[in-house]
Amino acid sequence: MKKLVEISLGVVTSVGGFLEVGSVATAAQAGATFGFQLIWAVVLGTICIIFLVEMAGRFAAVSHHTISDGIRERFGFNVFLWPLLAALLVNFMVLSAEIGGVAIALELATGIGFQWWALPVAFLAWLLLWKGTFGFIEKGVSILGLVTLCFVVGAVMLKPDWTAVAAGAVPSLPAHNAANYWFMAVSILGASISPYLFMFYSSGAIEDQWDKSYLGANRAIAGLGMTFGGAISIGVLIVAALVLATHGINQVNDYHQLPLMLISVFGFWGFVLFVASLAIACFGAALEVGLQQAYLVAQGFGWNWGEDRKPCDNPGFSAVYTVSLLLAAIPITLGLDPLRLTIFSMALTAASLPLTVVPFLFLLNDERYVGEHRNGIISNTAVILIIALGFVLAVVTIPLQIFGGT
Amino acid sequence: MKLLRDLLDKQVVDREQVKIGKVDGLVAELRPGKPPRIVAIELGSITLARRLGERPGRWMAQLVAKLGGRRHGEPHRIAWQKVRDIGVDIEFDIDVRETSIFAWQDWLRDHVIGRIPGA
Amino acid sequence: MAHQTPALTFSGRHLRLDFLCLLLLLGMSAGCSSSDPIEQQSRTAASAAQTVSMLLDAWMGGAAPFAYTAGTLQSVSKTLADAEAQIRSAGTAEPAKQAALTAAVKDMSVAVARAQAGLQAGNRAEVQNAQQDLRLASRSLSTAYSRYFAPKP
Repeated sequence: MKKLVEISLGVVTSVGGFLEVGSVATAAQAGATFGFQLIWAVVLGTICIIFLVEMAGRFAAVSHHTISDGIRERFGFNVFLWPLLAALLVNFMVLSAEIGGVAIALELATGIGFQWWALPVAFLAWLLLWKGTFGFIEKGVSILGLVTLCFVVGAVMLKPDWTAVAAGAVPSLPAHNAANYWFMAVSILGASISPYLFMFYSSGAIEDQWDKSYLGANRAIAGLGMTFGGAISIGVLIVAALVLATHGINQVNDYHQLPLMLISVFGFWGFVLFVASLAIACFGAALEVGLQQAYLVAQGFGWNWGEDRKPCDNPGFSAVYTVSLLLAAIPITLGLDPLRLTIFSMALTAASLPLTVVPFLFLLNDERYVGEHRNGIISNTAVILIIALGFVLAVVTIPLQIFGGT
Repeated sequence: MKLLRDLLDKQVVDREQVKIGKVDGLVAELRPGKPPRIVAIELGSITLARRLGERPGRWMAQLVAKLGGRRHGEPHRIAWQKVRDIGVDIEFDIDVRETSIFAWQDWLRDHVIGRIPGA
Repeated sequence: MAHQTPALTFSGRHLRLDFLCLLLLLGMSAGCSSSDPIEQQSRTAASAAQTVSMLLDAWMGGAAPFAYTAGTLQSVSKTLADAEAQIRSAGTAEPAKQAALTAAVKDMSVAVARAQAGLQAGNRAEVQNAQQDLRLASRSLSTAYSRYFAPKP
């Protein structure tokens, strides 16, 4: 019975924490421009993150190491430095994008420009990390995040042609605008396969003192939680395709266009729901990414870490998230467009995945860490193929997007 | 035991289970005709920088000496005979408060973190 | 210092790989022609106009709050001005057809400005007129667009 409660709570947490600015923005753009055609990218990304989250939990439960601990120990400091720097950089951009997402929501609600909100948002996030506990942050914010389910409700209410939706789950070649199509596929993959998500999950498993008895719960949480989370992303994509595209809005390059998705379904309450979903989802993600930066550095260098201790007990750890949040607020304060930043950081995430995921896969196949609980051939192959696809597409399309003149 | 594989980069804790750092370096005694013997572990930014190369190591040592004074110009060492247990972490029979390993964290606490309300 | 050598080779291999990727990229970017700014900007303008039309409907139905509506109109007017400038400055072999595109986008900007004035004054009739103007401008943009991209005789 206790396990069942734990599993449900874990699933709820993953569902509420799945959506963030990246998945909203990429799914909305893809739906508006290509209809249901890019659903397959969400599906592939979700499959990959299911495997990775399950591995992260299993690794923590069996070896009692977090991912950064493991990579450093197994490969040594000089190799560890590369995934560390890659993850820090990508997380920094994602954190900035999430702060931008909350700032956009506040601008939409109040009419006061998003730049003005970045620092207050970062401060509020910092305050919660400073005073809050891990359980409070992980569970509290994620349960509020369930408001994002309104996208799924909206998608169902729009009565999509479900055969067309299913057809979109099968990869297909674009009829027009190929460069843009593949770039969007990359951004969607990057948004779904967030390294911070599975790294955070492994830190959480250690903070909650998981052991082998949690392996079943872990599998259920990863599978169910991420599947439902992916369903929300698909919901956003369907709503964007049926609302924006059918009204002739094929290009989403202004965040002001986004609330129209839900306004058209729910009227004024749609506006409220959209603003609330964006604000809560991005704020939750900002907390997690900020915390993950501190975990990454503290675990990599062997300092004390733990969100439940007082800041003065682990000054290094608290200093890292303080500085991370402050730095990440700067680009938004300077007026960098959050939507552009989001799309770009998602594509960059996809490009950086091999650096973070490949060492992790080695750990999951190493008997010294996971013993008999090693990866099977299916999970290895699936993750490698999807990561490779994301990387190749990113390397090809990012320069096209930068130099392509759009 | 393979030294580099099984010791290097493992988590180090003191007798109170406080996480002090990682095994950033090993100090071994070379004995002719016999396998080398570990005499101490090293930890800290200087050792880490030395692993990246000779020059980063020198720069880091100069930087640390400039910031923290002469006594921080050398890496921190813990004698191997103090080792108590090797598991997920390596436990040493020391108290980190009696060493200068956490000097920078103490400085951070006293001058920055501790001054923010609610710490 | 025994662990230093593998690390060095690792970073060396890394560099060479990076270099290969870069070469590959440069080749690809050179091979693929960049997308036409006129086509891109015309589509952006069309989407912007549709956004405004949908937004004003929502505002009149009480579904879009004032601050959001005003903010969006302002942002769209910037997008339209930018699109107009880019279409105007793009090099083309057909200046007359290009001018038709620019004129249509200009009409859109005027319509959006009218909607902004109507919104500030709370004048629903004016907003409706602006929507009508916007619809006309959208139609002329789409005509100009299909003329511009019509197959050459």
